[in-house]
Amino acid sequence: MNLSRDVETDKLIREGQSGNSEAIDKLIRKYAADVHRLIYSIMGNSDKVPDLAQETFLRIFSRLDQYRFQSSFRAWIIQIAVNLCRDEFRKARVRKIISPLFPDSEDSIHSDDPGTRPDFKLERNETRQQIIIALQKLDKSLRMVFTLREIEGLPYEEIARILNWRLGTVKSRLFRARKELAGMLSHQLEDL
Amino acid sequence: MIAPKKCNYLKMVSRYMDNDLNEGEKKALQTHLIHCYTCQKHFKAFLHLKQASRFNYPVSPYFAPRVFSALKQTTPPFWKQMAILPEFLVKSGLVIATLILIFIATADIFNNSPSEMTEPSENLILIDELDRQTTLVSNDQALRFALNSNDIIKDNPNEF
Repeated sequence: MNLSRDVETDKLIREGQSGNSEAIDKLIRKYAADVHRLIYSIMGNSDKVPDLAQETFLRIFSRLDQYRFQSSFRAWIIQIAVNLCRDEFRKARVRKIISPLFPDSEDSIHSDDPGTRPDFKLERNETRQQIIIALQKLDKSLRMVFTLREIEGLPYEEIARILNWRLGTVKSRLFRARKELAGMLSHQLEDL
Repeated sequence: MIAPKKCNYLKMVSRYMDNDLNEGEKKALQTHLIHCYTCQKHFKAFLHLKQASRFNYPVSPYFAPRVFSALKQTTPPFWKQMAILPEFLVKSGLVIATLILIFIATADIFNNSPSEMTEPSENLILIDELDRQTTLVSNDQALRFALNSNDIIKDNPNEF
């Protein structure tokens, strides 16, 4: 799926804007996997993926009338999902600060290392699973740039726009992310 | 394990993965890769990373119906509910309402202007007359009271 103008998608969006539920259903099904994968790669926690993906689509369809066909619809969806993930990180930071005050709360169990979670058996492919685990060890900015480029396949310009960075920052952080991941996953990558 | 050696070409290796090099840079990198072990290792690792990163996430078949039911539960704000009316009707209605408000506001200012305040209306004259009569009556009563009081004082001078 590329970011160029897609006539079929534009038609679905127009129909969705006029309240056609069938068009909305088709748009959800078309982008659901992308949104799930993106959130999963950034958050590294499969529990939160469906809820955040749902919230992403709710935001999209509540603002669908504001979409003016000037930018890529997919990039717009990704931007909303990335912003939601950032909000979630902020909330998690606050929860981390206040968790000593409420030791019995469920949020006191942090999911920093998804590899230790019993439910982290989503991917059959061992290397991919290792990549997701290694991604969670990266700095959040490196994790996001790597996800947007390598997992979602966005061009530099779109990444710079979504993350509000300069093009040079995107390139240098992407390089750092690759280098750190390659260092962490050298054994798995050699086996490929 | 990838050797943590530094090489000035490593950033270029990363950009090569994204097809971000021009022809001159590509040739320079290819020549460099022949004899740089660090860059060769990173090139392979970055390439494998790229290939392994593409995956499909299994989405629940209930996801779309779930989003739909959540969409139905969210009540749109009142201005969106007005969207059932044609857009031009909503916009023209807003323009007319704004014009009426401006008219009322300016009319109110002109009504309170000093030039019109100099000519009191008929009702105001009547109220003035009423006030004057009330004052006259009151004064008359006060005089009588005063005269009576004087009579009382005259009759009982020791009490005052």
